[in-house]
Amino acid sequence: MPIIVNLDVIMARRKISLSELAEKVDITLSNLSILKTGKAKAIRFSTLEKICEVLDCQPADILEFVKENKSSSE
Amino acid sequence: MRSTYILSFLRISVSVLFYILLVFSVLFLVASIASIAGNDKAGDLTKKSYSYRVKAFGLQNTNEPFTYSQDSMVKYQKVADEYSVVLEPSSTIGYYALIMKLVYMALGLVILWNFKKIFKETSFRQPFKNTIIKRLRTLAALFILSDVIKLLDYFLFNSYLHHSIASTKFQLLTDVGNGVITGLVILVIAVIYERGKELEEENALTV
Repeated sequence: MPIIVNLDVIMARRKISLSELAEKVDITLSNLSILKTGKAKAIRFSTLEKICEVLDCQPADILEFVKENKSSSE
Repeated sequence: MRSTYILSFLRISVSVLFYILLVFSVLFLVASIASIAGNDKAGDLTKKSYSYRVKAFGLQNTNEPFTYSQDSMVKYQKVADEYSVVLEPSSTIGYYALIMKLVYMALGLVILWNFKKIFKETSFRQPFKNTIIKRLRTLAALFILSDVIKLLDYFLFNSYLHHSIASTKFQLLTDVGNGVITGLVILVIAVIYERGKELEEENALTV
């Protein structure tokens, strides 16, 4: 998927653990893990808002669009 | 709560039906083998012979007039040119009839077994499962197959019958189409169910 989730990078910068972030954002650890590993298919604005608030960052810091190179995949 | 009761009722009913058909099929098979083994005298059409309803087309016999009930709300008539063909079990056409009856029973058993499994695997906590989608598709294919077998039976039976009876006007009475319609309805349900599974997965992966 061309959307890359850089949550682990921001979490490392803020020195916050996954369980601590899950508790502060008020979502389950498994859901946060799905987001962190890039398995998530969608993210609610409310979740993104809480993550940005807790990590003191912008949505663009967490999500990044990378164009897929079609020739490399063929 | 009410849906749980309905599901339990369906689960039990299908299981009971499956085992009744299983017992009936085994008894039928044993009785048929015994009938063939015990009936050495060819041409002896006993009560254990197979019976089929056929219609003779083109004889131009007209139906009898309608008879009315006393209040004239119901009427009935004797249908012309309909016959009952009785087959000797230990003959080629008798073996064919036995094989076809066993095929229909096997088909019925497989269909009921699939229904039994579907109702067993269905749960309200996790309603969408890949196994159920596969079973629904199998059921759809089986229902369509049942009609294909009926069509084949129609042509094969008529061909065997015309070998034994000189007249080619006799045609087996059969109803084709129900299986295809049921199969297509189940196929539509399977497609919708598959979409439900996709939506459930999407929902689970939305954080």
